Amino acid sequence: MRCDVPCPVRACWVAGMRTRRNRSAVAGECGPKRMLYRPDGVAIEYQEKPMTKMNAAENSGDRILTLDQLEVGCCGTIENVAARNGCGQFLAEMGLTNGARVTVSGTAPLGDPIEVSVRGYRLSLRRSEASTIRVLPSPAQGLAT
Amino acid sequence: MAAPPRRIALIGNPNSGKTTLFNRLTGQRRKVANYAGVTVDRSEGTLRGRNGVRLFDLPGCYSLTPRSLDQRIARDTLLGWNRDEVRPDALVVIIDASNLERNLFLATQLLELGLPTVVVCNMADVLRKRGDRLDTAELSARLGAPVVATVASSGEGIDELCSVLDALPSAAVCHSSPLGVPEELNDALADIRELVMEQGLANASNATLAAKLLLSPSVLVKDDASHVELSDDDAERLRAIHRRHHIDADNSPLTVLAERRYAWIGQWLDGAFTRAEVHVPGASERIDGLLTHRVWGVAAFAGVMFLMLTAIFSWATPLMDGIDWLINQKLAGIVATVIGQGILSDLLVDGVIAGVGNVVVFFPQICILFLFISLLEDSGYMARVAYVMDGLMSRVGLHGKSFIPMLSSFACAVPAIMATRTIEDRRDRLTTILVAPLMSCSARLPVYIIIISAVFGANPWLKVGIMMAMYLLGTVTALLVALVLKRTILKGPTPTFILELPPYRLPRLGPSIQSMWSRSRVFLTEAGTIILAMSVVLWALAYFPRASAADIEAGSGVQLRQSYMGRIGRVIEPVIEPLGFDWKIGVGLASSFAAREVFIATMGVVYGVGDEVDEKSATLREEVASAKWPDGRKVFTPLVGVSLMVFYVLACQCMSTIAVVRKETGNWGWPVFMFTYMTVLAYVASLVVYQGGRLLGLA
Repeated sequence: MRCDVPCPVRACWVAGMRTRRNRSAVAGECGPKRMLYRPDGVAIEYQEKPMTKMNAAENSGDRILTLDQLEVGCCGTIENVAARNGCGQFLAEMGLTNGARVTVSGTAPLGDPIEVSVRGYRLSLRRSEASTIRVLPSPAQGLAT
Repeated sequence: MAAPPRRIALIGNPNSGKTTLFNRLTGQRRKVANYAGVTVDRSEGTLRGRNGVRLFDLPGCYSLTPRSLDQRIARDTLLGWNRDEVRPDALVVIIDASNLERNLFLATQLLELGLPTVVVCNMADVLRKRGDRLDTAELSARLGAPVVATVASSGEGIDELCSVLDALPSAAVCHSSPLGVPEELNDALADIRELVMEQGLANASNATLAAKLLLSPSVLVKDDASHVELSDDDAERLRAIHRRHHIDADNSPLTVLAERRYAWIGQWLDGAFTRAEVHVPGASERIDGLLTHRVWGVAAFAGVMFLMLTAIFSWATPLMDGIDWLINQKLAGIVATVIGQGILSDLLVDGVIAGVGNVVVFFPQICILFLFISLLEDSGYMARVAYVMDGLMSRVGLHGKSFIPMLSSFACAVPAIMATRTIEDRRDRLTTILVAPLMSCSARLPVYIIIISAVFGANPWLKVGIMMAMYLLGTVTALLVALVLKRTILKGPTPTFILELPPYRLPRLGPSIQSMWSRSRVFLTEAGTIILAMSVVLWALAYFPRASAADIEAGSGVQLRQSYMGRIGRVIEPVIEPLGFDWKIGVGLASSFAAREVFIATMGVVYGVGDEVDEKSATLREEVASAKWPDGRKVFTPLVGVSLMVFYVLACQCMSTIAVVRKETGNWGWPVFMFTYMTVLAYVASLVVYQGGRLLGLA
C-alpha cells in the first residue's frame, strides 16, 4: 500500500536518488520529544504520548499504517509495537520504540526483508516483523537539501 | 607478594571496533582461548606497559538480554552467573561514535553493574568527517563515568585511555542515577530483587540490574538464548512472581524499560551531541544504494559469491597438492625409510600419516573460506549477504545467515559447519549443520568423474547433464530436508531476522588473517584428534587379518579382499545388492568413510590396478567398465552408475564431517543422527533409482 502523504520522489528507484532521500531522513530529528525527565534524573517523570492515534490522524489527516506497508523512501513515527515472543523486546532494544522515527530505505531483491533506518543506523527485518510495528506516516523531510 | 592482576573486560556492540581496540591496548601479546565449555573465542592480554592489568574481551552484544550463546556468556560473566569465569574488576565500554544512540543502550545497562567503567567513543574520525560534534566532557559529566574519544584504527586517543584506566577507582561505584522504573513494575522488581539477594545471584550494587533482567519471561525458557540457570525452586518462585504481575511472553516489561533507556539516552545526548546541519552522504550510503539495488546489487552479489567459490575450488588446489605431496610423499617416504618395513611402519605411513593427511589437505580450503568470511564481515557485506538471501532461505524455514555455510559446503562441509557459528538461533544452526553435508563437496567430484567417464560413453552433453543433476539433487535434498527438520524435530518459533546492516568499511587484511587463523586452527587441533583415531581404526580394518606373503605376491588386491574391510564388503553385499552394487563396490563404500576420494584408490586396489590411481586413470576406467558379476552380467551399467552416484550424493561418508559436527554440537547425538538419516536417505534413494530403473527396463 502506498502511504497517503505524497512522497514527491517516490518514483525514483535509482540508487543515487534513493540515497539522497535517505540522507535527508537521517538528518531529520528522531520523533517528537515526548518523555520528560528532571535534569538531576532522580525522579523521572513520564509523560504519556502527547498525540494519541486519534488526534494525530485528525491533525494531519493521516492513517496509521504498519511499517511493511510504507513505501521505500517514506518515513514515519512509531506509534506502537505489538510483536510477540520477545521480538518486541528486541525491536525496542534495537531502538524501534514508540516515538522513534523510521525510514524505509530499501527492500531486498526478493521483496523481503526490508531495510529501515532508525536512530541513525540501518536495520533489516522481515515484513512479518515489520507488520507488527504501527507507524504514523509523515512527509519525507528536507528534500531540498 | 604482588597483588593479583586487575581484570578489565572489554565490551561493546558488534561492529564497534572492539577487536581493533583490544589489539591497540595489548599490542601483540594476546592469547586466544575458548570460554569454558563452549566454542566462543576469548582473547586475553596484558595492558601495554602495565603488568598488573589483564584485559579480556567479551562477545559483542546489543543488550544484556542475550540473543545467542556467546552473548549469554557476556551477560553471565558480567553478572557473575558463569561459575567458570571471574567477574571483571572494571569495564571498558566501547561505543561506535557514529551510531551513538543505539550503542549507548548497552552502556545504560552496563553502568548499572556498579563496576568502575570507562566509556570509549570509538571511530571519532567518522563523527568528525560527518560534521557532527560530541562534547565528551559534557557526556562524561552526565554519565558519571570518564568518556574518551578514540580512533582505534589509527591509535588516536589510546594513550589517554591508558592513563584513564590507571586512574580508575578499584571499588564499586555508582554511576549516574539509576534508571527510573515505571510505577507498575516497582512491586514485581522488588519481589525479584529480594529473590536475587537471597539466592546470592547478585550483590548490593548490581541487584537492581539483575532483577530487571529477570523481569523478562524468556529467562525461564530453557531453549531461549537468554535462559538463566536457576535451581528448580528459584525458577518456580520467579515464575510465580511473573504470574502474579501478569508478565508473559507477549508482555515483557523490558520493552517498557528499553523505551525508558532510549529516552534517557536522548537526555544525555541533548546538548552534548550536535548533528551537522547538512548531512553529507557517506561513501557507505552510496555503496549501499548500489549493492542492494535490484539489478546491480544482485550482480555484485553473484560476483562476490563466484569469487569466493572459485577461490576455494581453484586457488586452494596448488596448496592442497603441496600439502598432499609433503605429507603423503615426503613425510611418508622419510618415515618408511627410517623405520623400515614392518607393521609399525605400515601403521604410521598408511594409517596415521595417510589418514590425517587426507584431512589436513582440506586446511587450505578452510583457511581461504574463513579469510573470505572475515573480509566479508569486516567490510560489512556479510550482513547484506544474509539480507539478500533471506527471502530465499526463509522459504525453507532457514535464516539468511545459513546461506554462506550452505554455499561453502560445495567446497567442503567441514569449514561450512564451522561457519554456522554466526547463526544465533540454535535450531537454525543445527538445521544448517545437518543439511550442509548434502551439498556435493569437492571430494565427491572425483568419484562422479570416474563413474561418469566409465559408464556414460563419449557423449559430453550427457556427461555434463548427469554431473549437474547430481549437484542439483544434493542441493534440492538439502533444502527439502531443512524444511522437514524445521517442521518436525527442530520445530520452534520462527527466528527473527532483525539484523543490523553495518556501514561499509574497507576491510583490513591483518585482523582478517588473525580471525581466519583463530577459526581455522580449531580444525587442526580439535577435529584432528578424533580424525586420527578414526584413521587408525579404518587402517586396521583394511590391514588385518594379514594375508600370507605368497598371496600378497600374487596380486595387490588380495590383502584388501580378505581383510576385515573386504569381509565387510562381502557381509553387506546382500544389503547393497538391491542397489545394484557388488561386494567390491561395498569395499569402496566402506573405505570411503575415511574420505570420499579414497573410493578411487580402493577401487584401484580391488580391481588390481594398484593404488596409485586417480580419476583420470584410463586403466581403472576400463577395469571398472568391464567388471562382471559371477554370472557374467556387467556390474557398471549406466543405471548402477547413477544409483552409485546418488548414494554418494546423499550418504554421510566423511569422518571429518562427523568429527566437526561432534565438536560444534558438543555431543555425539547429532552426528549419529546425521549419519543415520543420510545413510538411510542414500540407501532408499539408490534403491528407488535402481529398482525403479529396472522396472522401467533401463537395466
